[in-house]
Amino acid sequence: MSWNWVRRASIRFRLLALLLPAMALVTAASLWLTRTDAVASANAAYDRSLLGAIKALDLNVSTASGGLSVELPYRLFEFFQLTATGNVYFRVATADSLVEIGNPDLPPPPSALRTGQPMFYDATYFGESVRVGAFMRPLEQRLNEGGEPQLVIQVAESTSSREQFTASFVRRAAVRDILLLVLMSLAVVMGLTVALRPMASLAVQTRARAPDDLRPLQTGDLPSDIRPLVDAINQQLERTNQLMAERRGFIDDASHQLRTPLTILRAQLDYVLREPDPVQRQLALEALSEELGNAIRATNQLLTLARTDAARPQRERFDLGDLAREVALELLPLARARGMDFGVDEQAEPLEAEGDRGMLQHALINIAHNAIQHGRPQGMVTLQVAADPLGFSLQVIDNGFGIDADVLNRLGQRFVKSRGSRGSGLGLAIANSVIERHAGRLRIEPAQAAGGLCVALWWPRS
Amino acid sequence: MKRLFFLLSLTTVLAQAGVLEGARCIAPAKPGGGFDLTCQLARSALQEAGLTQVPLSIVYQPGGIGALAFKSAVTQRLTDSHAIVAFSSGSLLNLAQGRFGPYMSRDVRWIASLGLDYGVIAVRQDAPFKTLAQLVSALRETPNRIVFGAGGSIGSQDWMKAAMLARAAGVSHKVMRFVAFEGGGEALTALRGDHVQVLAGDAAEVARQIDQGAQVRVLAVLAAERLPGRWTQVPTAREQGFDIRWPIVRGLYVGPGVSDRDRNEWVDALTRAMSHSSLPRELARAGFQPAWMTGVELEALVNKQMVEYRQLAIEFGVSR
Repeated sequence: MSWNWVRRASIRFRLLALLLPAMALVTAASLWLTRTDAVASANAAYDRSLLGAIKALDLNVSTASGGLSVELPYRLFEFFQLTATGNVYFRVATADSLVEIGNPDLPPPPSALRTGQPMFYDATYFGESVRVGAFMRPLEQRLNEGGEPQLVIQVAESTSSREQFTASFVRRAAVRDILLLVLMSLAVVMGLTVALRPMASLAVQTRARAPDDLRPLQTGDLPSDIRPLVDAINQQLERTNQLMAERRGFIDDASHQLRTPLTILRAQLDYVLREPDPVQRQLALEALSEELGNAIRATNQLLTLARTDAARPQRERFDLGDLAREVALELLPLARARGMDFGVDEQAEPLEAEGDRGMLQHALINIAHNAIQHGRPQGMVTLQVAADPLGFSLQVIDNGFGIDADVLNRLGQRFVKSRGSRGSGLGLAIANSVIERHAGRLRIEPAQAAGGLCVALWWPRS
Repeated sequence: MKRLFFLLSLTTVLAQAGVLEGARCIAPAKPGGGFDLTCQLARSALQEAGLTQVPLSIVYQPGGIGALAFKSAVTQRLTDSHAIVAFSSGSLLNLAQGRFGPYMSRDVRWIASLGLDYGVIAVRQDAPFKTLAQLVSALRETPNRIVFGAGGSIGSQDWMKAAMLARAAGVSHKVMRFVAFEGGGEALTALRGDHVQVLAGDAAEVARQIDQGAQVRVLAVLAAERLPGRWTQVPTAREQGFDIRWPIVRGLYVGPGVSDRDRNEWVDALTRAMSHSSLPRELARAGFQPAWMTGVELEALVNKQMVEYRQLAIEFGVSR
């Protein structure tokens, strides 16, 4: 038995499927109570008329002659039989059954009768279900010497009349309750339709949106129940929006970043083609080669940035010192070309760190490259590594010219570069992106001792 | 003149001393039944024979078809020689079943049997049953539609008649519908009001009611042969193929404490009255067949009937 269809069914159907059996149960319970009540009240009413018949019989009991005689109230019985629409039986007897008048085998009471207290009980008489009223009282006169003389009067009537009464009562109640059930079901359906209207209109509103419309959905008049859902959707929309903005930004960056060098290359190439002088041409080609190198580096940086944005950092263990030495080795030719004092502050022991080694290496290269590129000629650039219980850091310290305060604040953003920089403006942005991926921070501040700049990458232990 | 005075005073003295002076006959039912007829017969026979100046007074003491009267005779009036109580075979039947309490037939002194009565099965004049056979087949088909009315409760002689009829119809007496009344007179009233459909009663009391205008049809007489007089046209149950006989002895008894002298006085007076020339007329008026019996003969009959009735009570499972 699969319950999938219930899970997939509409809220309206599900509510009905859950509510209807519950309501039907309540209705059945109420019907049962109604029946019990009806039987009780019918019995109370009919028993009273039984008691009336008993009293009438009692009035007709005479012990005047020393015997016991009963004038049978036939008129009353006929009248009674008419109202009861069934058979009426009676029995008048002494408690010891010496005297017995009427229907001799009327069923006896289920428990002993008490003097003066009428008792009513259900019984079967000749295959007919009857209600019997029994009453016992002492006789005025002692009819014999043995025991307390007691007179027992029983009157029974067939229960068909009161059963009819009860049945019609219950029937009416059943019709009423079923009608109520139907009405309640209708009310539930209608109420649900009204209550679910905001959702329907939300669906309409959402379907009518333009494909590129990423504004948040309206939550103004939505029920509080579905607001979390809409909020979640809105969050998702916002993330998508951000992602789209980043993508758009990347495309803008890329187009800007690639178009400019390509235009320059085109212009230089045209110049080379027109230049008849081989010396001039050679010079122009060298300039073109350098420009092409710039363009390639810019493209690589751009792609790295896109990858950094998209990729999840791989966590691995590695030695910080090794990383710094590798970077130093890679950049040594450039530093030599600029006559710089470039090195690593060696640590006595290895410092094991955690993070995406490739990404971090790239970030450190970018920072160190910047420092060499923009540093003072014959200046000094030092790489430092450190680790403490909180996290790890990679620092690049130079004794260069420093940086303007307004640029300093914006460093790390894309395409922000110092005046005179020939870079792409992406190096620090990539470093920033990498360290954010590690939940760390990029810190740029004046280096106290060297007088230049200290750029630090710091990320916490996981 | 002197002699006449002597005779008068003698009778007065005799009457004053005798049990008949201020005597009463106790009919242990309501008026109009067999006990009433028994007392009436005793009264008129004694009166016709000139044995009473003031007619015997009749006291009705209903309750359990003689049960209460028997009890009071045994426990309260045991020495009351002026009270004579009517009995019938029905009383003996009840006695045999212990329905009169813990008493035996020897607890009272049986005086005489005045006459013989027979059971009858009667229906209303407008009832659909014309013969006993029709009633029996209806009883066989729908036993719960036919309600018997009778004097006396389950086990009484009227009930016995109905039960024997039910047995003849092949119907258990346990599914037979039955309403008990305090004597045959009451039962007849109920029959006339259609509160019961069949009356199991006695010939004498039914005859009396018919004479008083009751619209009743007697389907069968429970005698061996057809009864004389008014009953010559009514077939017996035997004739109709159902061997049900129910003769009823009707008589009188006195309390156990009554002296032999008083008892003999009653027996003598009744013997004289019952041999008077007016008796056949009186018997016919009561509706009894002649069955005069007293003394040892009566004791023997009572004892014989007691044995038979005990047997019958056991057969029908009504013995107490």
